[in-house]
Parts: sequence; C-alpha cells; structure tokens
Amino acid sequence: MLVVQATACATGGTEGAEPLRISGSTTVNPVAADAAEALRAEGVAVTVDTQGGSAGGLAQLGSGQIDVAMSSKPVGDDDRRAHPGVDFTATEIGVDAVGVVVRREVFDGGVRSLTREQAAALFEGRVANWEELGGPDLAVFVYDKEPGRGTREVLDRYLYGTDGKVPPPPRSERYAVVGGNEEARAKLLSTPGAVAPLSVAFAAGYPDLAAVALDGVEPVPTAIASGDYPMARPLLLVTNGPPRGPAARFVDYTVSDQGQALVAEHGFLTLADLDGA
Amino acid sequence: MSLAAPAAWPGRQHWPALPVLVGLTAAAAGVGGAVVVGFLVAGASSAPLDWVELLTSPTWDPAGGAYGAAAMVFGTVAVSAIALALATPLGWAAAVAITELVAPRRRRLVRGGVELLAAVPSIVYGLVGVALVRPLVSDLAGVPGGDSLLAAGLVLAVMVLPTVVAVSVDALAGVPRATREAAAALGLTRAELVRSVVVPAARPGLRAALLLGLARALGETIAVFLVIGRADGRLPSPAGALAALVRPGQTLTTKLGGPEPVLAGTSGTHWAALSGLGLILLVTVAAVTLVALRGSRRQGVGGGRRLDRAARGWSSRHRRDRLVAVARRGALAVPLVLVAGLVVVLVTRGSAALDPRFWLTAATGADAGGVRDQVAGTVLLVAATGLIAAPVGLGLGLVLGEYAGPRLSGAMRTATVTLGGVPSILLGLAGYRVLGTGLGWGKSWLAGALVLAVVVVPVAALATTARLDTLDPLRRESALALGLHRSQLIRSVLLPHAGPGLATGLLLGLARAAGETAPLLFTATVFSGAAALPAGVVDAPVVALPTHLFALSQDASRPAALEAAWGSALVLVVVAGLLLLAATPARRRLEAAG
Amino acid sequence: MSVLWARDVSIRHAGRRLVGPVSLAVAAGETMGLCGPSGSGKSTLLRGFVGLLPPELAVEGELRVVGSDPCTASPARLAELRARAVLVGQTPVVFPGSVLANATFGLRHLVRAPRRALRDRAESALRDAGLWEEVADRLDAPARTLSVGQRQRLCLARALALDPGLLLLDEPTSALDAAARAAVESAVAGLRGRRSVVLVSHDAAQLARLCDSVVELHANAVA
Repeated sequence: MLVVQATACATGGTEGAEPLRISGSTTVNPVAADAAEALRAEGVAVTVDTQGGSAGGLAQLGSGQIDVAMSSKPVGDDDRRAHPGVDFTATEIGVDAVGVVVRREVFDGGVRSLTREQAAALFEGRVANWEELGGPDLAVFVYDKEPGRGTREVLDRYLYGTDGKVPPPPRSERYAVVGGNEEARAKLLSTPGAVAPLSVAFAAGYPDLAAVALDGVEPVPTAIASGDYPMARPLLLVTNGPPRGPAARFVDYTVSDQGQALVAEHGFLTLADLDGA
Repeated sequence: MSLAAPAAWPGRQHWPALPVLVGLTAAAAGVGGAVVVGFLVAGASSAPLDWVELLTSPTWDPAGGAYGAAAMVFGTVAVSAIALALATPLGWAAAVAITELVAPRRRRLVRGGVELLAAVPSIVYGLVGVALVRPLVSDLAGVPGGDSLLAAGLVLAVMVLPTVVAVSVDALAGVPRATREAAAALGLTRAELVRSVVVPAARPGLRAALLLGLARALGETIAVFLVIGRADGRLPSPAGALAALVRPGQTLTTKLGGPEPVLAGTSGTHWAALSGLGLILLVTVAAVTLVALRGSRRQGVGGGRRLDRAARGWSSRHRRDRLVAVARRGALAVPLVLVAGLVVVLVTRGSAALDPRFWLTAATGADAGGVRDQVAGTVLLVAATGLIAAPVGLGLGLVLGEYAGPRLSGAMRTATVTLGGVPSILLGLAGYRVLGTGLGWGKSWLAGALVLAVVVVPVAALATTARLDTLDPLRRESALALGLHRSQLIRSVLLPHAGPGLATGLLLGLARAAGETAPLLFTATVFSGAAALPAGVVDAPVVALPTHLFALSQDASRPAALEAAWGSALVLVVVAGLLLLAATPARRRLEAAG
Repeated sequence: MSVLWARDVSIRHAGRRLVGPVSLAVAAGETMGLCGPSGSGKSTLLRGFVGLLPPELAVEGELRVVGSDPCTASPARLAELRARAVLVGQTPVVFPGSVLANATFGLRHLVRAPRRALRDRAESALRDAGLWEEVADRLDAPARTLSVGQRQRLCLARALALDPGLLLLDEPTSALDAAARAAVESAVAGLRGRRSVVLVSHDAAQLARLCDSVVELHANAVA
C-alpha cells in the first residue's frame, strides 16, 4: 500500500482515495476531459467515461455509480420518473446545436435547407435518393444515433415534438446506427451520400461536411444562441442535488473563465455568447 | 549385500488437503459459471417477457415496447457462417501444411507466427476492420461506408483463422510417428497419408479447432460492433438472405455491447428482454458446443477411398500428390501473409509506438501524448487475471483429468467447454450487475480481472486436461506400483507432465484476455483519468489499452486519432507478444523434460 | 510365514470369471514362477495382488500380500502395501529426469532422507540390478538415453531401492532382445534366496532356470 500511495503522490497527489466520477455525453466529453486534466494538475482525482451517452450518464448518476453526469440534452421527465429519489440538478456550461450533417457534394449539389417534414422523411428511410430533395443523383445513406444519445433525443424532439410518438427504426437497407460523435463523424466522412445528426461543433473544421439549414435557419452562432435554430441544446453537467466537494470544484471550474475558454476552444457557444444574444 | 531399512528415515508427508484444495478451486470456476447463468435467468424472469415475440419478431423497439430478436439471431448466424466458411478450410489446410510439409527446423518459426497472430487482441482486429476492411468492402461489394454483415464476417474470419490453425496443428502433431510410418511403409503418397491416416486420427482435434473458432466468432463483440452498422430489424426473406449480407445488421452481442444495458435499469421488460437476448446467445453457444462435442466422439475412418486411389497408376498419384501439396502450401501462405501484412501495417502506421516516449508519457486530450497509464492498467489486469486463473485452471484441469470419474468428467468437460464459449460480453454484463451494481464496486480493476479470469480458466483447464490425457498409463501405473500416494502422483508425475499444457492454455487465454474490450467497458475501465495504479478495490477503475483503442478507433476520421490508434495497437500487440515470448522458454524446458 | 498367500483367488468382470481360481503361497526368500497360456490372466492377477486393477474388475477369495489384504485396504494403506510389494512391468517405463532420479523415484516419495543417503541407496540397488557398472559415470544423464535392456534393469533397481518384501515381475524380459534378456535374467538370478519374488513368464525354460517353484494358471473358457 505504501508503494501505491507513493505513486499516487508522484502522479499529482490525489485528494482521498475516491476519485470524482464523471460519465455521459461524448459531446460534452472534450470539454470535461480538458477540465478534468486541468484539475488533476491541481491534485483532484477525476475519471471521465462516456458509456451510454447522455442517457447512460443520467442513468448511472441515478443509480449512484457516478458523481457528475454529462448531458447534451435537457433532463427529461422520464429521467426523473425513472429515478424518483434523485434530485437531478443541471448546470449549463455552454450551448451546442445538433446539425443535420451531409456530405459536401450533397450540400453543394443543392440540399442546403430542409423542412421538418423532409428531415423526418429522410431519417425514417423514406428518401432513397438526394434528387428527391433537390440534390444530386446520389443514393441516401442514413446514420442514426443509438438509443440514449442526447443528439438523438434532440432530433426526435424536433421531428416529433416533446410528446410525439417516435416511430421504430426504419427497415431501409441504407440505414445504420452509430454511437458517439466521433463515430458519427468518421462514418459520415467515409460514406458517400451519408447524412447523420451530429453536433455542429464536431462537424466544424471538416470541409467535406456541411450542416444544412432547418426550416430556412442555418445553424450559425447567432441563430443557435437566440434559439431560432430548432435543434439548439444546452450542454449540462448534472449532479444529484447542488454540486458539493470535488464535484462543485469541477463544475465551478467549467463555468469559470478558464473553463469557458475550453468550451469555446471545442467549438461550442459559451455562456457569455448566450447572454450576448 | 543388504539394504538399510527405510524405517531409519522419517516417512514422507503426503498432502491429504490436496483434493480439498483442488475441489475448492474447481468449485470457484463453477461459481463463475453459475453466476453468469444465474444473473441472466434472474434478469429474464424479473418482468413478464413474451418469449414467442422475442424469438420470432424482428422488431426491436424499446420505446414502443417491442422486443423481438429474430433479426439479431440472423445477424449472429450470418457473420459466424461467413467467418467459419472462410477460416475453417483455410485453417485446416494450413495446419496440415505446417505439420506435414514444412521442414522441422522451420516449423517452429511458422508455428510461432501463427501463435503471434492468435495472440493479436480482438480490438486490434477491430481497428483493422474500421481502417482497412470497411473501405475494402465498400469498394469491392459496393456497400456504402462498408458497414455490413459481410465486413463483420471478414473481420471475424481473420480473427478466427489463427485459432483454427493453432488448435489443428496441435491435433495433427499429436498423431504418433509410428502411425505415419506404418502407413508410409504401405506405399501411400504424402497426400494419401494425410487423408487416410493423419486426418482421421486427428479428427477430434480438428473438430475442436472448428468449435473453438465458432465459439470465438459467436461471442466476439467489439470488432463486430465497429463494422456491422448495428441496424435493428433486418430479417430478410430466405430469398433475400444473400443480399442482406452486404447490408448493415445487428448481432446479439452488438446489441448487448451497446448502451442499452446501462439504460435499461435493473428491472422491467427492457432489462428482461436484454437478459433474454443473453440467454438466447448462451443457449446457442451451449447447443453448438454440445453438438460439436458429440460429433467429435464419432471417429470416422476414410479407408474406402484409399483403395480406389491405390488402384490408380503411380504417375497420376504423384501428380495429384504434388497438386495437393501446392494447394496446402497456398493455404499456409494465407496466415503467413496475414502475419506479415499485419506486422507491416502496425509498424508503418503505428510508428508512434517506436518512440519510447509514447510508452513513458501519459495521454493528454483525446489523442495526444503517450499510453503510459494504459500500459500499466493492461499489465495490472493481465497479471491479476493470471494470478486468479492459474490455480483455478489447474485445479479444474486436475478435477477433469484425474479426480472425476469418466461420466462426471465427460459432463464437466462439456460444461467447461461451454463456459469457455460464453461470450465475454455476457461475462462483462454479469460483472457489471453482480460486482459493479450488486456489490457496489462500481468500476473496479479487480472486477475486470475476475471477469477476464472466467475467460482464461476454461482454456487453461482444458489444455491441462488434454495434456493429462496424453500421459502414458504405464507411467502412472509404475509410479503407483512404487507406493506413491495420489497426491504424490499428482505432484511428481501429473503436474510435471501437465505443466506445458497449463502454460500454453494460460498463455493463449491471457493473450485473448489482454485484448478483451467489451467486458472491461462495463466493469473496469474508464476513458481517462484513472490513477496509474488503483489504491483500492471499490470505485477503482483503470485505463487500459483496449478501451483507449476502442475510443480512438471510433474517431478514425481524424489523422491524429488514427495515428494514435495504430500506435496503441502496436503497443498492445507488443504487450501480448511479450507475454507469449516470456512463457516460451518455460514451455520449451517443460516440453523437453516431458 | 508367507509373504504372499492366496486361497481360491479369482478375478471377475461383470460376474464373469476372468482369472483363477488360484491358490498359492510365497515364502520369504522364495522365487516363484507363474506360467500359463496367453489370456490366462497372469498379468491381471499380479495387478490384483497390489490393487492396480481398473475398478470394473473385482478380486474374490482370501488374499494376504505382505501382511495386508489389498481388496479392503484404505488408499493410504494400499500405497504402503505397494511400496513393500513392488510390481515391475513388462515394458520399461522411465520417468522424466536423470538415471539417479529414476533410481530413487519411489524412495524419495516414501521417506525424507539426505541426498547422500539416497545416492548410496541408489548405488546399491543399481548394483543389485546389475546396472551399476554401465551407468556409474552417467548418473545425471537423462534416463531415456539408456537402452531398453538398461531401462528395464533401472526399473528393477527403482523397485529394489525400496527394499521391498516382495517383488512382482511381470514378464520382465519379453520386450527385450537376447543380450538384454540375459542381463535381466542374471540380475533376477542374483536376487534368488535374498528376495521374495513372483516371476511371470510364458517361457518355461526361463522359469525352470530362475525359480524355486512354479505355479501354472489355466485359461478360463470364455463364456
């Protein structure tokens, strides 16, 4: 045990044996991972995981397996119903938008904007070729997100409303499922004619990808901050009750100037951007 | 000349506690198996579950309350069939080439290459799948993006091939030289000798090779997860089954390896249905195992065709012999080219790992820095797994090979093979429910090691037992005739003889365990931030190479991530390869002594 | 006092009699030959004397081997019996390890003794088996490097090292060539009068040369 303690001290001196456990959304993960790294340099032990996405993080928080859940969607009534004894307390650390992201050749070929009905038809597998949406003669390939991903819930809420019934996954042959943002982006980049719901911050900087306008509104910062863009969403750190101890330190860090700089660095809107809108 | 009376010296203690100890270790393995079955049965019965719907409906829609697994069963069958259809004939032919055609002094090198391929962790094959097989399938089969049952089957075929070769080589090498000589003395050509004598004599082992390959294919999660597309509800009509192979799909393991087990809670229909999927998977693997085991007991003799061929002229027989030899060498070339290709790809793309700093610095951000802590975590997991699995595997092997009577031993061997075939994702979910949630360990390195031990123990135990079975019964009788107690017989005769078997089995098992990803995601690892060495058991996760590689593989579109992924893959292969190398001298020494 | 005493002993498999009935008594220092046609169960009987039969074979009748009944002995008692009535098989079986390790194999497991004492004991046993001159300079060589005839005498020495009250030799020369057979025969002849021995052989002339008395076993009609 002495050896272990000595090693722990050498790697930055942990405060107690129990690390702060963070898990959830891959959208929030880059910011949280950098913040955790900064805090580790100050001697706070933090582990970061992304199992199961936003809903996975909230479920793990509900069952006490983690201390802070990362979520890229608001905490819903169903989450609260599933864990009645848990006081989900969300702290917003920034804002992102889910883009309907297509490949550049589709965007340049004419698919620059979609209506809600067109988007629904697309993700329900009812569109076989981009020509049907005014684009190039190219077969559509849909990558949807696996259940529980915050991105998917935001998309579902846009397409079907808060209480609308979500249809089962389509039987289309040109349809596959992805998990985190990284996987969605990697598969979009490797599949001609592909479309996927993806955080616009993760699509930024990739010239081969473009996020289309929805109902005529482009996912630009002003439209996201003002809420005109329909799939804007908060990035949240969720705790059981107000954050305490290391969790409070972590949350405070992420909303501090240093933390907000990380939010901006990863392509999200900061709290200040939101106030300015 | 008279001899001194032995009474002048104190008598030797034999160790009456040995059977108890052996029994306890074997019971530990039994508990492991019981927990896996128990948690699934408990889960499936925790809420009313419509089994008919589960087995016949292709629609899986938890939000809509529809739980049908038929499409996943189809996916599982399809990818396993593709994998075995490619890997089994190639593997058998390559094994024959290694034992019958390769010069003895080169044989060791070739076998080493195949063993190395078998030790390549499955997550590395996952990366190969994402980076190489997906684009290949996309280009050749015209599959958008490449996500398909075919891609998954191809990745599995590459994964399964070394297992089939390695086990088949052992089976063929076990055919006594006298048997070969007796047949060769009758004027059979090499090809006829192989077909009429060697293969029939080794048939049970060759079947075991197919079986182990199938078990691996059925249970693999992560490598399939990355390239199959995970699309639910794809149950084609019989006519469309072939076309469905180039479409995305879902298997039982990829469903269980996804986010749903974490989302489903600990009760309710969703969890019951997921447990039902686990049970279907478990029963399928068990059934396949039982059928294959029963088949392997029916020894066939291929005598009739030998006579036909002997009636042909000598020149045609020799021509045929040469053709067969060329075909077999060709089959051998496949795994060798795969080894060479993998080495080239890993070294050229993973050149980051050639820099010592990559090994010695901690990871920063998503894909920068080194893998120091991941290496430490993997070594810790593998070492702890080995420490748990060695005594349990040995104990179980002794019970199977020595203590149990023929009937009990047969049943227990079947159970052990079945336990060895239990998909690791089920072990991971069992660990998640029982250790993580049930005992409140959260994520813990020890939970990971316990789960991985269940992967390793059957391999080690069966290898030990197989080696015990080859013990000359006369040697055993001679030892007993000299008055040895059973515990002394075990220590002085059985253990030295079984040692190489245990070492080999432990090694192959650990090499597999080192690359297991799916069970660790649920029980032991986080993506970042764990201390290099955990300070306790509860809430003491580690970072490990497989998890790191899994995260990086998904981000394969970014050059930096891909570079870090290949570097990590090379590190993981080197770690597994070092395990293999470290045990080689011990194996040689033991084999030489035998 | 007989070292081995059997009355109406027979061996059955699933109710069918395979061997016997046979009655015999071996006195201390006597070499008794056991002969009979192939299939009469000579080797099976010998294994029955020391409890080395497979469980499906049952021994009937009254049997005392170096003072114990192998049919009713506990496992520990049976191990002790085998160390005092040592069976040497037809095929020479050596254990992995050196010549010396083989010569002391049984003894090492029976008693705790200093290495030096074990070596001395091995030397005298190897001399008794007529092997010492041939292996004295290669005691540390692997036993499997010996010739078949040498290995058979090593098996004999291994048994003699235990200072057994009874030696049971099961066709010790049938797997050997003429020269090796002569060497083993002379070793067995050298034990005559000093050891109690049961020698199984189908070679009547050999038994006549080596034994004080001979018992013939009759083949049982196969039912």
